[in-house]
Amino acid sequence: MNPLDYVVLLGTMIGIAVYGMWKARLRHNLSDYLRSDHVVGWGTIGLSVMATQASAITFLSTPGQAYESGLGFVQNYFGLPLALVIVAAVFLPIYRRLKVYTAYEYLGHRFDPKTRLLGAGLFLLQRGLASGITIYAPAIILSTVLGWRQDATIVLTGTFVIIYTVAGGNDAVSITQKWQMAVIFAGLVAAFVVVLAKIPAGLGLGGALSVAGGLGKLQAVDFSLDPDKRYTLWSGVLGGVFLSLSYFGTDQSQVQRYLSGTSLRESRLGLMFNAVLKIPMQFFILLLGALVFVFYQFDTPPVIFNHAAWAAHAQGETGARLRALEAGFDAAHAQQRERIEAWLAARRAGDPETAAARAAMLAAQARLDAVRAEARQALAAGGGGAPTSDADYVFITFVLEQMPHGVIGLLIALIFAAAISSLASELAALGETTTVDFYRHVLRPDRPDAHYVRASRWFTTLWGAVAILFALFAHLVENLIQAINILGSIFYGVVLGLFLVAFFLRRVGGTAVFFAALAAQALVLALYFSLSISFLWYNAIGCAACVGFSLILQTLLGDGRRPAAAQAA
Amino acid sequence: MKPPAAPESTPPPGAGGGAAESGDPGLPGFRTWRRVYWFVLGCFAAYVVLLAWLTRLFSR
Repeated sequence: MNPLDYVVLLGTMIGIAVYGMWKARLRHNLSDYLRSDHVVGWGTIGLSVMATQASAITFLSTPGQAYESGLGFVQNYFGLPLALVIVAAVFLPIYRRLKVYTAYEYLGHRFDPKTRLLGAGLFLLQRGLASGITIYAPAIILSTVLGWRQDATIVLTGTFVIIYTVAGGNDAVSITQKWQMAVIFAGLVAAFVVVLAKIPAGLGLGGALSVAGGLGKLQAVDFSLDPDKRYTLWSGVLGGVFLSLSYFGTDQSQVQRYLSGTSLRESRLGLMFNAVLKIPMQFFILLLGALVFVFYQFDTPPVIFNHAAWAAHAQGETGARLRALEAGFDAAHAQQRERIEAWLAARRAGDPETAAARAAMLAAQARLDAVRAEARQALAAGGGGAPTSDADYVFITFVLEQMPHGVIGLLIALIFAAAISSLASELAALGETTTVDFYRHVLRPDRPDAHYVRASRWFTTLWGAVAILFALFAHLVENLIQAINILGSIFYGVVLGLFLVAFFLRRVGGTAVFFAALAAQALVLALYFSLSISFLWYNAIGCAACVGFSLILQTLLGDGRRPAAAQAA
Repeated sequence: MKPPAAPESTPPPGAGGGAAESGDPGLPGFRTWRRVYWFVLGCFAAYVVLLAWLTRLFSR
C-alpha cells in the first residue's frame, strides 16, 4: 500500500464514522438512542441488515471459496428468502405491536421473566464471544499480508467502532452502515472491472466463464441427494431456512436493525430487500473469485497464498522440500496453461478432439491441486494448525499484487467497512440487551431515560472491551473460527426453539418452556461431548428438543394459561 | 378439559399484526403483502433456475 491507498482508506473510514455521529447527534432518550425512535426508512434498514450479516471474512473468504471449490457455496443462502418472508410475516408484526426493544423482551411478554432472561443470556454468551472473532478474523489476515502489528490492528479497529457506536447509538450504526455498504459495492464493482481487464486479451467474459466452467468452477446448483455432499440445493434450502430463521428472527444484532423502521411497512421492505438481493450479491462475490481463478490460470499463482507462512517455513527445516514443491508447482502450472489453450483452440475450431482436450486439461488441474495439497501438508506438518485457511488469502493477494493504487485502498476500506459494520451492530445489540433485559428489568427499574442511555453507553463500551480482549487472546485457541461456529450452533437451536414455541404453540406456558429449554441445552451439550456428528446438526437437535420437551412438560403440568395481568407486566 | 386460551398480549400465530398484514404495501403492482411474499419466492425460484442453467451451460 502507498500513501494514496492510506488516504483513501482512512478518509473513507473516518469520514463515514464522523458523518454518522454528526447525523445522530442530540439523541437523548432511550427510544431515540436504542431504536432510532422509528425514523429509519426501508433502504437504510435493508442496507443495515445486509451490512450486519456481511462481515470482513465474507469478502476475504468467499472469493477464495470459489477459487477452491467453485460457486456451490451460493446454495448456502437458498433458505434465506423463505426465512425472511416468515420473519416479515410472523415475527416482525408481533415485535412491533408489543413495542419491544429486544427480541427477548417478547419472551417476557409471552412467557415470564425467567424465560426472557434465559433467551437474553444465551444471546449474550454466544454473540459476546462471536464479536471477538469479528475483529480477530480480518485482523489476523490483514496484519499478515500488510505487515501491520496484529494487536494494534485489533485494538485500533475495536476502539474506532466503540467510539462511534457509543457516541451515536443505533442511528449512527444504521447511517454508517448505509455508507459502508456503498463503499463495499463500489469496491466489488472496481474489483470486477480490474479482474476482467487482467484476463488475457481475446478471452473476454464469455471465454473466462468457459474456462471456469470447463474446470468445474461454475457448478452453482447441485440437485444430488447425497448427504455427504457439503452444498446441495436441498441442504441449502432446508438447513438454510433453519439457520436464517434463527439469525434474522431471534438474534438481537439483526432484530435491532429492522425494528428501527419508521413503520411496519419500512421494516418489512428492508427485509424483502435482503430476501431479493442477498443471493445475487453472494453470487457476484463468488463469481469474482471464479474470475480470479481464471486469471491465475494464465499468470502463475503462488503455491501457497499466505506468503508470510510460506516465507517463515521456507527458511526452516522444511525449506528444501517446499522449494522443490514450488518448482514442481510452476512446471505443472505451465503444463496446465498449455492444456487450457489447446482446449480453447479445439472448442473454437469445433474439433472432435475437444472432449479429449478437456480431459487432459482436467488431469493437469488435478496434478496442480495435488502439488498444492502436498505443500499445505508440508506447511501444516512444520508449523501446526492455523486459525485461517489458505483460501482466505487468495483475494487479498490478488488485490495487493494486481490492483492499481487507490483501488487497493478502496478494497482494504471495503474489508474494514465490512468488519466494523458487523461489529457495530453486535456491540449495539449486546449493550441494548444488557441494558433492557438485565439492567432495567432486574437491577435498576423505573429510572429516567437519560440514566438508561448512559448505562447503555457503558455496557456497549464494556462489550467492546470484552471483544478486543477476546480477540487479543484468540490465538491461544486452535482453529478458533470453527470453535466459535460450534459454540453458535450449540446455543442457536435452543433459542430458536424458545421462539417457535412462543409463536406457534399456544398451549405451552413459561414454566414448561423454561425447563424444556434447559433440558434441551443439556441434551445438546451431552451429545456434543459424546458424538462426532457435524456441528450444524446441533441447531436442529436443540430446536426440536426444546419444542418436543415443551409439549411433553406442558402436558404433564396441565393448563399453560397465565392471567392477562401477568402477561402485561 | 377446556382448551387453554391464548395469552392476551400475544396475537395468534400467522396473524402477523392483523390489519397491518392485510394493509397496502405501497408498491406499484402489489396490493397485498401476500403478493410481495410470492414475488420474493418467485425471484428465488428464478435464481435457482438461472443458476442451474448457468451450471449446465458452462459445464460442457
